Amino acid sequence: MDEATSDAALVERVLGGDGRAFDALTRRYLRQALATAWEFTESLEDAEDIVQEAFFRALSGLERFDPSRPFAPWLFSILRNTGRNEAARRGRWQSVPVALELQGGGEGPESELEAGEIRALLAQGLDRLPAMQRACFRLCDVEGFTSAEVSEMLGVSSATVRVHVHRARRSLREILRPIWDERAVP
Amino acid sequence: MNKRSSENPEREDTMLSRMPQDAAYWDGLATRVENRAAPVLARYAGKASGEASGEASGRASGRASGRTGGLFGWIGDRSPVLAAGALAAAALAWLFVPPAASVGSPTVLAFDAVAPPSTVARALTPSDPLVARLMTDPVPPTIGSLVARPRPGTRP
Repeated sequence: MDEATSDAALVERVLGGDGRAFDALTRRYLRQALATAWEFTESLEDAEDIVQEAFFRALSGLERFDPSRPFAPWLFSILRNTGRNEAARRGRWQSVPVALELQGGGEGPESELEAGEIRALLAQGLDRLPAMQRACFRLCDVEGFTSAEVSEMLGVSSATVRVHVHRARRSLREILRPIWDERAVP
Repeated sequence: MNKRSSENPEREDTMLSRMPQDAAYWDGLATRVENRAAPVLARYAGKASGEASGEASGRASGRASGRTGGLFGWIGDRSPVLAAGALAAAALAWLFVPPAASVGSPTVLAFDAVAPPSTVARALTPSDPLVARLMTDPVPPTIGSLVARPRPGTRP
């Protein structure tokens, strides 16, 4: 399936029962979907469940989708609703602790220790951030999505995403300042 | 698939990212999503092919349904066994219907319809000659003929 094939064309084929078109549509948005779902839950496994459920609901309701409108915002609105329902069911929305499963990247014991310390501080800082700031920062600055992509994923404007990212960076900078100051001292 | 946005690669932080980096992981997740969706896709495929065949048979028979249509078509679309049972019940009901019911009339009227009037008159001729005359007279009686006493030697 050509990557240039539009979402609308894929949707039309999916409605005709074309499994390859659904595969292409799924893979096109899978990474964004998982990143978004992970903002609603603690574990990767739960995020995967949300993604599967959201794609299933989207496919089941595809006949009601207006093909004249963009597909991604519609899909992510279903995903967010699924994530909110799941979080509400578990009673953890707005109080999800950040569980950064960060990969080790240090070159030696010292740098690993330092990286671990930074990660721990970052995790603490992210925990203190409002949920939207945390999500925007993580999706933009950590996962590398553009503000336009994140605006679709979270259902807010690009400007709002940029504002949240800016505020999150400012807060995290304050949290990390002691380490930087310490490193600056010879 | 699933590649990071190329618009801001400098903002990627693979050390801090918690997203899986293994391509096999994404293939596996996509497969799980597709497996979950398989029944819905099958429904869409069946609907699409049904619409296509329905249009073809509709053009041929002038009906939306490709089967017998009506009640039996409606039942048959849902269950051939039910349709066969309904047909059998209808046939039995038609075979065992009483003759009177088959003409849609009460039994007495049916008897009148098949029996000659003369036979009826003979069977029901009473002892009263006036009543007998009224029953056999082809002309309807009038009040005058009913109250007039027949004179001896004359026909009423």
